Amino acid sequence: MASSARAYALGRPAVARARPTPGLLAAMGLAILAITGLIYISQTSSVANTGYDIAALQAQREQWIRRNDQLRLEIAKAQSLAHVEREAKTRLNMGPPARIVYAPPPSAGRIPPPADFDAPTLGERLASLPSAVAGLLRGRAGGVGD
Amino acid sequence: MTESTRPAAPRGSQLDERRWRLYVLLAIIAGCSVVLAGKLFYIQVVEHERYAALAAQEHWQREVIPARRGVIRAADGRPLAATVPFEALYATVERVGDVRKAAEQLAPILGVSTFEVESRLRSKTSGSVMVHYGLTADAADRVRQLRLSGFTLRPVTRRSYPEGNLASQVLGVVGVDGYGLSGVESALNDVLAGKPGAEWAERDTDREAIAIGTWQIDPPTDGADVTLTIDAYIQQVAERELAAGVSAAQAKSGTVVVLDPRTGAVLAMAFRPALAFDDPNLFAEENKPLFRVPAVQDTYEPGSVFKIVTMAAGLETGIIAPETQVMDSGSFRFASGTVRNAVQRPPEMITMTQVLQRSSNVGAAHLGVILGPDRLFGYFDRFGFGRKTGIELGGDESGSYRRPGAPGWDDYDLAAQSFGQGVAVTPLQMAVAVAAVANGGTLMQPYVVASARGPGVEWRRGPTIVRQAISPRTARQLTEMMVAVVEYSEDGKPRLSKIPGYRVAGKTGTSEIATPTGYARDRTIASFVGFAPADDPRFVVLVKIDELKSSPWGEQVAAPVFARIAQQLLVYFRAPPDSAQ
Repeated sequence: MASSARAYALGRPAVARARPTPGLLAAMGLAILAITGLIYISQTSSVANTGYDIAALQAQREQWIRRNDQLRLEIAKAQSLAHVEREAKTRLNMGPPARIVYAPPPSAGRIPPPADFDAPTLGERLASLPSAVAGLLRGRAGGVGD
Repeated sequence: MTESTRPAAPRGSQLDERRWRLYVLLAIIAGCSVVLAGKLFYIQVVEHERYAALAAQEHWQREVIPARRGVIRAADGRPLAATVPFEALYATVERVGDVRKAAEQLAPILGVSTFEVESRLRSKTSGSVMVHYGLTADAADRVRQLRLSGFTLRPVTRRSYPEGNLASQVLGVVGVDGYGLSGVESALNDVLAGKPGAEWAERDTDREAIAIGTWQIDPPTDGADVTLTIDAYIQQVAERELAAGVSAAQAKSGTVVVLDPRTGAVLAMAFRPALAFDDPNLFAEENKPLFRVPAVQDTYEPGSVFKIVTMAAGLETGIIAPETQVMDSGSFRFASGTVRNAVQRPPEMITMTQVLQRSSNVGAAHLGVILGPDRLFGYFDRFGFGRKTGIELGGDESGSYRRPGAPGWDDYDLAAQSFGQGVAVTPLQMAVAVAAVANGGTLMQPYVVASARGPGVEWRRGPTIVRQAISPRTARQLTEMMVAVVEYSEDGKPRLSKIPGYRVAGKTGTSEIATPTGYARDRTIASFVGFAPADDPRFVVLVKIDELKSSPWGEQVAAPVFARIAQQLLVYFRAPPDSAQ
């Protein structure tokens, strides 16, 4: 039986294949048209969505630019002379000097020590010698701070 | 049977009738087609432009994209005026449901009372009404979260002033249309304004741009940023001290000009009364005079301050030296008038330095007469009087003085103009002339705009020499004479313009106000102009106080204002003192 079936299959002539009917062709055409339409609509819809997303992002961007500019204005206001002066007066209790005094510039040579300056004794100088040497070894001038 | 069921063949007349009907029908159809084609031709061809425009108007919308107006900065880069984007809240009145409830929700966000919001919403019965202009981003977000029906937020811009009303008249005002109306905003409007752009886009029924539609953008060109020569700190000092001086003198108005004598750069220009940007009635008629820049747009008779110019002419021509003596008899009759001193003293021989120290009108008039009109007025010209200074502020006045041959000229005018009467100058012209004395004799062109930078715009201004008005030697001599004025004391008390530790050069002035019928004796202008340190001047300060009530004298009113400003500027400039105090 199996051999007869194979024989039948082998013996089947090519002309026996069913020809597409006009109805089938129309249906296929419609299907292709529908698929193409769907693809087009989905593409268009996707582009539209992307477009609206872009528009929303642009609006968001503009809002951030606005916010940024407003913050810049706030910074400029906070750094304004009037604001700084107000803060200095109210928070730090500062005020303009009542009187400006100009001290005489030191003459050439040594700067004279203030009147209330006590010169170190010999003992104090000797006591400070080790720290001065250590300072020199560290590459600093003895007795001079940072 | 077949024959009986078959319709009878039409006879000739019936056939003709049918054909006729067919022809009529065809003719009607043809006629309609012709009419239709004609109409189509009319629409498509003849009226093409109109209908194309209508269609475009329906589908396309053009929106102007405003250009960002440039920032105006002080010399140190501080923004003085900047355009900042905000949002404005509008309401379509008929679409707002519960007005009271909406007002209650909006009021705390807008920072105004419920009554105010409600009255704005009820100000119209239909259409759009602006509820609030200039919402910050945070406030706008809070409004959005309320999801109120009938309300729309639209982007807007507002000119903002981070330093408040600092240098308000110099900056000027921008109108609601974004056009500069005064000051730098007006003079440099083309540079600051930029060029607006436009966006053409296909719109949907809500007038929103269709995402997949066609659109075209012509981007705006932003305005250039402008940097002034105004120093914010000096401006603040000048405004504060002028306000105090005007208030103390119960004066009508006042002006302070501070210049860098080496470059001609304007460091400060202060005025009282001053323009307030936050004034809700800023554009009201009574505020219009405040749009002026009095230092360049208003002239006045400088009075004794002008003796500096006469003295410069005398020294430069070699007719006098600081020690040259003149007889001051208290009055001097010349031509049709008599020159009198403001303060009467016994007649005596005084030096030219003393002429300045005592502000002797008689001494200055004698010198003017000796110089003669050609030489005296020649030096008026050399110092730039009677000509515009060329500063970049609109309405720069040239001032005037009378020359021989001018209508109404009298020889007495020569004597009067020698001590600053009958001469009209702007405060800026006077300051520029004294700056020439301070810098060694070079007349500099004053300028207030240092640079502009932006898309397609980039320029920088530097000092411009107008001419050598007087020689350095004359300038030095005159400086010493002006130092002697500040050091001079008749009653043993130090002059109010004196600054301990510094050599200051200066001159007071008190002038009467000219009216169409003569001089108003009860109204005076007190002024002082000086510079410091005298040997290396860092600034020239001119103080002018108008129509004061406390005292008519420049020495009493204007000199202390000068001294307070100068003292603070010397510290600011770290100018080393001439002597320890």
